[in-house]
Amino acid sequence: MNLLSESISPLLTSDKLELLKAHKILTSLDFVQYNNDKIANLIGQNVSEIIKIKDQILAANNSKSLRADKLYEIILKRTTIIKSGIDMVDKMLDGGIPSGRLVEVFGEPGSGKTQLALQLTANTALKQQQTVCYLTTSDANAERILEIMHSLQEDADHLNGLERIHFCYVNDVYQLMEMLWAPGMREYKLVVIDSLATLFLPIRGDSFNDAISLLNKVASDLKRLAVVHQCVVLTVNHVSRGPAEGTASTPTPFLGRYWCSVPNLTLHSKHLSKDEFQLTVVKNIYSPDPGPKCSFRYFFRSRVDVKNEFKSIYPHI
Amino acid sequence: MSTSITNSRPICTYPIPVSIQSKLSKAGFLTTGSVVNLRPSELSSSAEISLEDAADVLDLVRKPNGLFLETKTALEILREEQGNCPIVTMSQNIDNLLNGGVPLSKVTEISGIAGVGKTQLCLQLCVTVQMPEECGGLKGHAVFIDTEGSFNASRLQDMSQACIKHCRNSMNLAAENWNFASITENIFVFRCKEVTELLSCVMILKEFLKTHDQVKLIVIDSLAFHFRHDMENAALRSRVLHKIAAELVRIAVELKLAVVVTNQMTTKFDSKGQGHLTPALGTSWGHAPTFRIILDWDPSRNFRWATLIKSSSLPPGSAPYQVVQDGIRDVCFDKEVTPPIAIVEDGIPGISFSNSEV
Repeated sequence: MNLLSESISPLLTSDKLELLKAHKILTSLDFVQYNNDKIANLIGQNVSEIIKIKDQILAANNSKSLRADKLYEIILKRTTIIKSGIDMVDKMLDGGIPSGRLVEVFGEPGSGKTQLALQLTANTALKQQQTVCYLTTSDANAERILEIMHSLQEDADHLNGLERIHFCYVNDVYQLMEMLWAPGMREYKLVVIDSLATLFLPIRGDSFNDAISLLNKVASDLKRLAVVHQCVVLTVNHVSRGPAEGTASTPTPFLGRYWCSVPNLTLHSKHLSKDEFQLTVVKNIYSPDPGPKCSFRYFFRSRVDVKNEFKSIYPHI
Repeated sequence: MSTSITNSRPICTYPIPVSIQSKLSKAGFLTTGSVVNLRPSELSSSAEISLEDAADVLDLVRKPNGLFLETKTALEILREEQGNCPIVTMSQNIDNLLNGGVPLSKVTEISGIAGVGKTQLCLQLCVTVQMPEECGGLKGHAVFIDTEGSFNASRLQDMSQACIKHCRNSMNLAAENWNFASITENIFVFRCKEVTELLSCVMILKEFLKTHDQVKLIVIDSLAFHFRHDMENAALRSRVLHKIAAELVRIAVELKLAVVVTNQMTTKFDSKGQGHLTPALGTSWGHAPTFRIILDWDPSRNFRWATLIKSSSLPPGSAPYQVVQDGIRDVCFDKEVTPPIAIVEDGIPGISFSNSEV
């Protein structure tokens, strides 16, 4: 989507460009859509020349087709499967989440969404030794990640794993978009946004169309990040107030009906009782089974042990 | 390679006002690459926007990606957090519940019915944050934002004297170092009589804290009061509430201080028509604080419970405590007591005492 300029074709000299500008033909998209004869009359060229220029523009902007077997090879080489480290959850997800997917986990406050995000982060950084980017709106819980790492594997290089996790505080949607467009994002194999709903809370209700268009941009940027850089993007969402469309067991996620169709995999997190949490697969476009769920416990150490033990293991921190 | 990615970034992803964005897109400037090499005068004439606006747009677009450079690894954050000492509450049970005390760099919400002791706990924290480091305190100052008129100086006096005596007995401190006068000097009280005052107070807090960098605790007692009485427009109320929440989180994280917010209780009805007592201000507010505590009386009415209903790193639990003349203290039992547990009924968070089955 570029402006018309001489670099596209030597026939488009500056005075011809001025003529086109005067008729509101500014970008290559405008040029391609405009009637051939009219352009020919306007800038005094043959229709065949105009068609050649149009073909040049279309060829330059075209996406190249790829044979499916080559695509399969690329996928085999670049795909990583992100696992949570909890056997029941991984089994429910058929082994884990392959890269290129946009995953959403939603639930009530205190239902374990952040815990799942931290669990995936810790496991990816420690066991699979990939870098993770954690964009947070509230807080960065490094101590909890260390605790989870201890529960996953007692004698591993935890400090090295911690260095693979990068935290960043985002306060509004534009900061999120700035991060998504940063060139350094390509290295991460897992990007967590905790939580996407908080970023949109100050905006919604204000000017409804603006909020939807921003959500649209964010959704397409998240998908682009997941597919182009072959990573998994995990977004944390809230639950909307009225039980208008959801049933008592599965409430509706926040961010509206448009957002429901964006993620590839949607999980609903619920806090059952003191220690138990439940994850339900609400939507999975790659699996035929509807709604598998599993209950499990997140690992929590007793409080008094935690601080003392860390201080004894890592006295230099 | 990196510039080509940034060059294809659409202009609409920048925080530019809508009117200017539409003019830019009409003039054909859709991506960063199309404007980044222009001079303000060129952009201004092509897009028919003022010179100042053009200069602003170019500044925004050319800014290097500062946010990305500010990312920290988990290890760095762990190191910083280990150095953060939490604020003790003078009740060992509550401190154990919170793994040491009210944490820095996080927002903690305390809810409870009227009269259960939320303001007492806040006043206690204003005193304990000032304890000298030898006694386990932070030697920090406190900001108390009072919306209900509940700030009570005589109660503060009781608590301070008890705390000073406790420290002097346990650590043998000299009298000049720490006394009632110094405690009252280091608590800054803001009285907000309506929502707009509360909003502006929170927004200018950052400026205030620049000149008062020893502040380690910000208390808002209570956040719910004005929102429940003044605001009828639910959408506006939600937006203002979240603006305040976002600003509090930002202050807590950037300046590494503890933010404590008190909330009132409301009744919500579940699908069966049963009423449940739950913290007010709604479910979307519930996502903002990192720690949420509900205070309630024990059914015997002899002492009180503090229950953790939401935390990002600690298991849920309950701590018994009592409010005496000296402030918040532990309570000892001579027989077994059953603590309340945090439950979520139909999406309504609350606590229940299992021995009060109706």
